[in-house]
Amino acid sequence: MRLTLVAVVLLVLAGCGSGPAPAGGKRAATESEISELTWAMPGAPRSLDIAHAMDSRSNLAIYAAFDGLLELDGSGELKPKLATEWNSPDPLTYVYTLRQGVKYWDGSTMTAEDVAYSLQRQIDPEQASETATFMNAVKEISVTGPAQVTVKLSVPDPAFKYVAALNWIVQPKAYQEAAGKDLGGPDKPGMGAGPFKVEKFSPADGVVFQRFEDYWGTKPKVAKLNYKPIPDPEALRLAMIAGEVDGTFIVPLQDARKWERTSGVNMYTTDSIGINYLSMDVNTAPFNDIHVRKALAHSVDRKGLLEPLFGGRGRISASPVATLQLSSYLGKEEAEKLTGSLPTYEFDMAKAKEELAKSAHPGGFSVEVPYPTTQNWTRLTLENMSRNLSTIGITLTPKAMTDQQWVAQLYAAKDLKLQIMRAGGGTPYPGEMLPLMFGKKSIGPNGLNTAGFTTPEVEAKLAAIAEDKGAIGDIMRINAEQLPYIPLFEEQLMHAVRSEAVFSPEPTPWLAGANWVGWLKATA
Amino acid sequence: MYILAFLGKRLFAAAVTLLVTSFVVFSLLAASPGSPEQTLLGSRPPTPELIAAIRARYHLDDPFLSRFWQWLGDVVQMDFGRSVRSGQPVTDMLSERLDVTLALGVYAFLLVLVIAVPAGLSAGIRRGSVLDRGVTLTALVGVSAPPFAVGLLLLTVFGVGLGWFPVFGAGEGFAGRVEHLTLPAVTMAVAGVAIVARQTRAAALDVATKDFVTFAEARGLPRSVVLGRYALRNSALPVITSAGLVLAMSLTGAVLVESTFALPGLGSLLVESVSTKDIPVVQGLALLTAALMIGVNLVVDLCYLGLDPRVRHSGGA
Amino acid sequence: MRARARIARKVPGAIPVFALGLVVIAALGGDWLAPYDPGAQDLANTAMPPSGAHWLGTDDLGRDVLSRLVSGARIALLGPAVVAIGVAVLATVIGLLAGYRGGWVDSAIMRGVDLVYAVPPLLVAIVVVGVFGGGYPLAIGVLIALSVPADVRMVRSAVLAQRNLAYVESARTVGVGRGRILFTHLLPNVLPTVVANLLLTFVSALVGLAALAFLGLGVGTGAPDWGRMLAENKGMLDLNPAAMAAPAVLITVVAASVTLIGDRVYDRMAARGRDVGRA
Repeated sequence: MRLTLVAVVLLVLAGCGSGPAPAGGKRAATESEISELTWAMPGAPRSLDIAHAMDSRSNLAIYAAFDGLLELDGSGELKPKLATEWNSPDPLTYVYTLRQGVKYWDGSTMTAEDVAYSLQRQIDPEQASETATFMNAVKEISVTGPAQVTVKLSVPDPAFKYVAALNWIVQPKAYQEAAGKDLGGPDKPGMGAGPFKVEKFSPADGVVFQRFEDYWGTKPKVAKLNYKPIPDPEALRLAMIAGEVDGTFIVPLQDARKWERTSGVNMYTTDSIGINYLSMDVNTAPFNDIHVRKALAHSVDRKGLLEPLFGGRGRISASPVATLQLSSYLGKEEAEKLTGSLPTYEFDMAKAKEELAKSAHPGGFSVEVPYPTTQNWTRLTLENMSRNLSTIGITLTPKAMTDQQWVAQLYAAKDLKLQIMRAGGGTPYPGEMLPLMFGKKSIGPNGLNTAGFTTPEVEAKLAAIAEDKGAIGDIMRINAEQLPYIPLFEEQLMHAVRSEAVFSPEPTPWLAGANWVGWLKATA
Repeated sequence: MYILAFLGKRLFAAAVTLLVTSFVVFSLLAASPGSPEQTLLGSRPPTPELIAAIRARYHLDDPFLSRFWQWLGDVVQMDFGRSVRSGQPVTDMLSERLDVTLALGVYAFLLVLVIAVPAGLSAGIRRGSVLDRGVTLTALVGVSAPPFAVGLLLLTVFGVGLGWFPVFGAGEGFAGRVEHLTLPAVTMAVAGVAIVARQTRAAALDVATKDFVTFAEARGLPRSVVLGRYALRNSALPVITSAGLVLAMSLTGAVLVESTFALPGLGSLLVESVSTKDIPVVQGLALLTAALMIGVNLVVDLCYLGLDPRVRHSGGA
Repeated sequence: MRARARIARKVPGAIPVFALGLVVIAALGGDWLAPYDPGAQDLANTAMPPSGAHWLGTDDLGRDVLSRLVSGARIALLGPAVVAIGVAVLATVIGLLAGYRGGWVDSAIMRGVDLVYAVPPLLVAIVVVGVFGGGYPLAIGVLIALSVPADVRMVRSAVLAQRNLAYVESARTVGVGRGRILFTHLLPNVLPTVVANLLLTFVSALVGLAALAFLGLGVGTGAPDWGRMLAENKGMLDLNPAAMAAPAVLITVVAASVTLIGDRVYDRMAARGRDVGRA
């Protein structure tokens, strides 16, 4: 699950240049105060310490209240926040100039030591920080001036620059040290320099935020924010209808039709950088046969499933790289041209049958496919495939698993055969996921190359990915031809807000690291 | 004297039960596939150093028995450890949730007693009346309907449709609690009311045919006195048994109701913790819920002793 | 317990038998009776409300809800039946043994029963799912394991009541073997209790399996199981309420019918046999 959650975790709430659907019946925003707002999520934050809270519900709570060094704007560009500017004189060095006179919630002033320590702590093995994987390349963090912090890398990492927006939450060194293991918990929730103070945090009941009146930036209109857990999606929707909840992020797309018809609630739709795909182990029968893989690719009714799975809020995907990442890297037009040039496999059981006849298994075969019960789209897709494949002699049996079991079998990397999953990166950088899904290094336990796919050509392209812009497109093409992965869909993300409030501006493509509460305004 | 021996025996049995339960749960979890660091880390393949750091932090590499022994040693000193998922002390997490679960369980239990016992008694006394038919039929539907369907129905009708009750959360303060927990408690009570009402009615019917009741009525005692003094007292045993069962169920088995009404109780914590293999929390929950069950069973047995001299003399338990 | 019979008389006898009969016919007829292929998908018409073509509408893959209900009748009856029979057989054997043998056998069995009593059933279900994964056989196993203790207690107490009655006493003095006493003398007298309980176990298993389907422990994906339909179609309440309501109503009706029939069966058997000796 976390696999797919990560796509969400890293919060690619993307509006994607083209922008979300026009806000039909939304009322105009005003500048008046909102004295209290209740925001619901499927669960309370695990912790308010970014190092131990790598999931969307925790992250969103943290980003609402705490500030990091930078943030992403609507087009995925890095913008100043607690750092007023940053530069990278060479691929191994990143220098951050810090904002002066920033106050924490307790009135004390932010120092360069605090900033350096806040990142240092996340790479300390003692901490066992969940964010450490984003900082594998970091060699050294040092204070290089009264208002300057410098990070040295051991190897170039094009994705490192986003750490300053996504993970580098700043808190006083003294507070973090004093809190120790309790940091982020109910007793020591944290001490930030962001727009909201944590008034009360309960991992069972959510968070109460109070606006921080001495915030260095633009103060939000919301004075008090209740961040509430409501695990059941239907209960959440009913609570919104009843007016007990004002808004929520990431509602299940399968319910889109239902939400659309819910009166008094406005929906916001944005793109995401998650890719939903099928993975086939290219080293074991029957999936070592390209014709079998092609037969499977022809047997998913992707077009037909878009509506029942995602309420039409998704698109058919042609590559393992998210469109959003690709267009932020190559530009929209280039990206579209590249994607359009890839071979596609439309739903056609006659073609599937043809391919299967050419394979070493013309009579078909049986395969069991695990899926996590928390992701309804996997069940529906598999049920659809199972039905379609039964007409050409292939028996596909979906097997329900809890999240933990499902992740465990995936990471154990034994007998992977056919897998269905959703994965995605957390940054605008399209090279992010490729080294994980392809190549020798990621094969085996704890690796994400579940297809076990590697060729000399792929390895060469992976090695060149940081310098050669064309390498990403080449890997996409190899995948489309060899089909270790069958890309299925790109889901959108849908958010709901009761009509008493609106997002103004609309949610940016990159919610990660953003003080999103500041976008909520009262309506006339 | 007898009571003391009885209690001593029960306490010993309870300790054994707790030990066995926690050992079984611990072994099952330890044997299950996957490890917590996988759910913590997400899609970024962790470096070996990071995995090692996390495993060391939670003692995941120690041999199974030594981990259990260590856990047990800490528990004896009232240290239940920290959650792997959130890093918080298990006792804090449990006490916060226990609050809601206890309130819900007791509320549902009270509803069961207040509704089921009078309904069952009067149905049993006025056998064949409209009231009796109504109670019987309602009880029948009550035991037969899937509880979560009932919950969703109540939520939709009384929460959203009529707007009489809040639809999520546990509320603050006493009044808030009562208001928020009414629908969930009713949902949980439905099956319980059905069971207890059936039992009470059956017991009342049984008692009503007994000679002493006929005799009492012949003596000219008012019906209400006969009812209160004899029927209620004599039908108490089966009623207490089923009521105890209902209480135990509401204290430990509320996960579906908790999820329908978005209540932060023990059930939802259990589901989350098992799915992330958060062993310290699951262990704490296992101990707590088993202790609650044992406590309720004990109270039921004590009630037996107090109410029925026959049980008292035959040696009880 | 005599009261049970009187409860039964409140509802006209034909209704539960008729209702259950319909379900049994559906179970026997299965797919042959269903208006559509229960597995046929129509992605263009998902979650449609009831209409002339689909009397109970369609589910989230455009499958006909009515056909799935009809086709699911078999498994809906079969699963609880297996649980009920399994529990009855196990509980009778263990209960007879505990009640008749007494001594350490009895106390060992009863301590085991107490132990299972003390463990919250939900904890067991969730931990077992978490450890062994889902699956129908596992669900059946969990339900049997959780239901046996209560029945053991009941059978045991029925045996205890009989053990010292004159006829058992005299059988023993004339040298009838232990096994024969158990099976020819005690068993027939305990049987009404067992049979009545068998039907009650069926009811709780029916509702219990539906709850387990909710927790992700149930029949295989894609099977038209009532509990599964209830769980999966929960989100469609607004679009096609029938998709969720129909299986819920069916479960309730079958459970209620079986309860009533159970009451009657108990009444008949108890009346025919000797006094069962249980209040």
